[in-house]
Amino acid sequence: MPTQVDLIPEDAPFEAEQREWLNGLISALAGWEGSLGGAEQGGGEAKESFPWHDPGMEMEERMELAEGKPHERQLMAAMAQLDCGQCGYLCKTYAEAIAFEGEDLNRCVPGAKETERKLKELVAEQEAAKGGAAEQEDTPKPQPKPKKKAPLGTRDNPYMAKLKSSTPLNAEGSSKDTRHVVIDLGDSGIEYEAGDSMGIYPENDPRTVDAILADIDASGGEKVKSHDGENKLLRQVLLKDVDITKPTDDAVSVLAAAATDADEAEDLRMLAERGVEEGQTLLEIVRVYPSARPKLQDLIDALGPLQPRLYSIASSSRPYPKEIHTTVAVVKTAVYGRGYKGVASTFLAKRLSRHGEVPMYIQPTAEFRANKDPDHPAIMIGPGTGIAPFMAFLQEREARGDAGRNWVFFGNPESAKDHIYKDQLEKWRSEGLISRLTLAFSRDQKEKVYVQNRMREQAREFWAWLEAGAVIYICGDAERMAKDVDTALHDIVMEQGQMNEAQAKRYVETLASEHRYLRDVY
Amino acid sequence: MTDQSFDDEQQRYLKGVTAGLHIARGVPGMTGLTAGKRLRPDDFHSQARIRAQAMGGELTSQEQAKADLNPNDMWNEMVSLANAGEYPKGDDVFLMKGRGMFYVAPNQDSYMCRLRMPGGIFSSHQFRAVADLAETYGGGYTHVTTRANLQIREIGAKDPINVLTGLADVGLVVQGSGGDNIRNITGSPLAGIDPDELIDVTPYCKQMHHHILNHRELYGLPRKFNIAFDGGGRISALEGTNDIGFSAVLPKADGPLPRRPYFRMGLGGITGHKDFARDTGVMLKPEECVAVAHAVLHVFLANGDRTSRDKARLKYVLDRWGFDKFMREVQKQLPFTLRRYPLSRCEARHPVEKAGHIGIHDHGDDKQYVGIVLPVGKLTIPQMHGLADLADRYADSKMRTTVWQNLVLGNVDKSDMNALVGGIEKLGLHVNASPARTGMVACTGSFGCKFANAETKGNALKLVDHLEATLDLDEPLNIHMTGCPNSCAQHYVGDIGLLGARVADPEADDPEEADQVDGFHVYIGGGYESEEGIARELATSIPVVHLNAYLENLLGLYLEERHDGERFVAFARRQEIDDLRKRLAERSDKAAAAQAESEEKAYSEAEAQADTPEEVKTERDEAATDDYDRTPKEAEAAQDGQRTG
Repeated sequence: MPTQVDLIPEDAPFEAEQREWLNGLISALAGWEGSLGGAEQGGGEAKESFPWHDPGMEMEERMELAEGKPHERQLMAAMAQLDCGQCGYLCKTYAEAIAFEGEDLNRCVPGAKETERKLKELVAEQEAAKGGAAEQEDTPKPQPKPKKKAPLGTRDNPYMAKLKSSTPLNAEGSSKDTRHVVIDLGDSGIEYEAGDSMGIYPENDPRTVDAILADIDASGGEKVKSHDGENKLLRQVLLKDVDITKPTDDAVSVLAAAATDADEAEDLRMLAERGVEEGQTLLEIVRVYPSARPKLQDLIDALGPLQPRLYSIASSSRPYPKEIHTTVAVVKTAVYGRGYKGVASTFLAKRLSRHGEVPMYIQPTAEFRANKDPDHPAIMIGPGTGIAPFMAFLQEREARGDAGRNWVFFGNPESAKDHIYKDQLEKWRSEGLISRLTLAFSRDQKEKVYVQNRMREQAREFWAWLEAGAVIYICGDAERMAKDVDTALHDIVMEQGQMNEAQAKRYVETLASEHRYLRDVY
Repeated sequence: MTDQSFDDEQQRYLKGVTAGLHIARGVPGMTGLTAGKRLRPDDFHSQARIRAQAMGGELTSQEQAKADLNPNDMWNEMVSLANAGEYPKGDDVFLMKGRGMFYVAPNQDSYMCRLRMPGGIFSSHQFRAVADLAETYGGGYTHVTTRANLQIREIGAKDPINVLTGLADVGLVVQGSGGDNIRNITGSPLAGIDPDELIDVTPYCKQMHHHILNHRELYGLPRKFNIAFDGGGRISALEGTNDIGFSAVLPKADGPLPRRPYFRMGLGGITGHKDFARDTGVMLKPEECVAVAHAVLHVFLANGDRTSRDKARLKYVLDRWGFDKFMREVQKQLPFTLRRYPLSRCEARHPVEKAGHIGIHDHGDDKQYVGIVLPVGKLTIPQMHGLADLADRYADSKMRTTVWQNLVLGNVDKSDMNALVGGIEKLGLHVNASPARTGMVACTGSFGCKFANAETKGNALKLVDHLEATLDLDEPLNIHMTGCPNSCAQHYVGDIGLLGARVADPEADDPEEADQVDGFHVYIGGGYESEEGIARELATSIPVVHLNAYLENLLGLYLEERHDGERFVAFARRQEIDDLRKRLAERSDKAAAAQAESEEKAYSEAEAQADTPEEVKTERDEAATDDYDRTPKEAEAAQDGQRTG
């Protein structure tokens, strides 16, 4: 139906109802004639929008926005919206793979438990809706498509690379332990580009595995069928194939069902419903609930797969064609009175010996790249390990001989201990590759100062760079840093560009649509 | 729906709506219901005209003429006229200008053909071809114009097609060189050889030129339109006087942009209207200029005034909207976001050499260029052939015309320069001239333009002769003499600007009944680039017989009063105009008194010695009437004689 347009103005000599009728008539006539007049350009279908695709949005809000949308879109809204690629897809394509190809529900690493639960819920609803009439309960869920042998160095065919070095970057006494890790690509022929990430298949800590084996009274030499369908030794499966850091709800259910103590069984059932807390590992649970000793195969089947972890690559393949550098913060959190260690980071930084092997692959980025335009100004905001991809970008731009200016924002707790890559950054600054280096050390002074505070202090210059066509890159913590930087950016646009909130929002949206506001956050 | 039938008033209204729909049907996009349909080039203009009328305006006759017949479609009409040996009438005169053919009656009963050559740099073979066409079909000469272009005059009624096809044979497509179109794209005349230039503008002038030729909607604008590219070198392209002026700049070292040359875009220049192009704050990579110019042109052609010739140029859209709104509309037309950058963060332009277009100058190792003086832009056929031969033999075969109405030959080996200059002088031309001659610019004037209030080129030459004879000018000086307020010779940017006017004959017996004769208003202190500024009015309606004496007095005062090495423009700008007028009057009186005294003395001495006092009186009177009354033809004959001699 043609759009109704007010062709008869209000001051024309007609009653209101007459005017309405005439407007309808003439709109229809003109529209009909118009459509005869020539070929329409572009076609009418509106571009689909994904309003929930915003990592800053809470799950609840995302689901509301997706309400009434098709199943696969609701699944998409349940994802972490980071398009990080750790699942092997983007948020949209992973959702479609679940809906149409029966892909696993536990692959969204940043979304973690929350996403997994929501996905389960949605899939269950969908199946209930479908199966309501027919009793097809046993219809096997569609199997993932058999995949062809993937090229070496991709997620499904990782390359066994050797660790070349792992160098501590923080000074002694720092609250942080950051390592510069160099991986040797040897003659693998694997190629990468600045901006890509490296996926690592870590191994669980053997001491933890051995402690679990001792607690469940297993030797580790038992044969079990692993997730890939092969029979392996239990210890190997616990080391390399399953996630023992965050037991799935299924695994907790299996434990609950096996618990001979009624109280323990009750506790575990509740835990299975609620989901485990951060740091509540398999070891923790088997210790607290000694009566819960399921069949080994059942437990293995119920545990989630050990997911690969992604690290932003901190080198450019131009100067380093056969190496990959990355910046690893060793995760140590005190939970439940015991040190909780990041599986992958401790594996890479500490447990892996020199020349030890690590299964790795390249996770290419969709758009987080040093801009093709060699002259574009770049603002790189990367506190903490967020500096990693910018080491790569700067090497890349140096190697390409780009004339474009670079403004680097870096931050960490203490300048004396945490000024990582100081010498390299200073060298680039003195050589002119970095034309502005803005540092924020939060604990150097009483008032905590972060990168977003520095942005505000230099709002005028920041605005000048934006207006001159700068691309803003942000890498690092998604929860707080990226949000605070985003707020600071909007405020700067409002203040310096003399815009109201809505205009500033549009301005930033335009930046994003022109690929000038790029984030690699986690 | 109501069961009442429509009354008379309502029926009349509906008839109007139906008629409107019929109009709109032919023009996609007008009803808002056919959006998305691709507009045909002419639709943009039809829409603009319908909108102008819908707002209660009445189209100008020129707009109506363009609506009735697009000049790009009038080949048949032009062929018929030529076959019949007739000149166009009525609106066709205006329309044919869009094809580069100007019927210049009543000044001359012939066509003038204005060429277009992006950047003003012709190749020697094109130069020869133009010379041959001017010889065969024209008046046996050409003029270099103030837009670094060539014009052929005195083309007969039978020959416009011969000229146009002859030009096309050597790659000269003149479509749109007149009428409401984008005129020749000017550029820095030293493009490619200027050691000081930031950007060689040649490719961008050329891209712009071909972009226009291939976009039919960029013809038939609300009014004429000028675009120029300045490469930032020794000789200015005078881009500030253009509707769109692209000026090469270099960002300062400490900013977000690399130290690569960019273009800044100025908009809305028209010196005839006391307005320079103003900076838009936009910083463009050279390869972005054409797309941005296209966007500017689209905003202009949709929103320029189609109901008043006086308010139709781009400047008035800018005045009406302000730069911010205008640039927002431009942005909407573009697929990328314009880079904005404060002018204060760009380095100042390399200073221009005011006399850089004249004489011998070094460029690069062992290379030189030479600027040849063409008195008010005129070239004879033998001179054109001679110069083309010299360019092939000693230079790089490029004939660089300048907005100063002269010609530069470059890439000359230093060792060849003497021979080249010898060759130039053999053609009756010179490479050195007094500052006054170097900086003299004049439009066509009443000799060949119906708008002109005064004859210009002849008067300009006499003025230069006079100043050379009476004063010892040592600093560069630009005198811009223009025949009418359209200001083809840009009087507002000259150190001295002279604007033609009709004035009462000062020698009339009865001032009440005086005839109108040629005269000029005098402006001082204009400038461009680093000296950019609009000249101020110093005197009005100076009859041409008093003009040389007036300027001699003005420049004499300047030579006496200036600070050490002060240029005229600086001197002029620090003057209080009223006070300057007073001092000029005093100086003039004093000089007259001194003159009278010495003449009286000489007269009495002579009288004492003379046998017959009558004779002496006759001689003195003849001296007093000087040479103002020489006709332009005679003046030119004298020039020609001197050149070929």
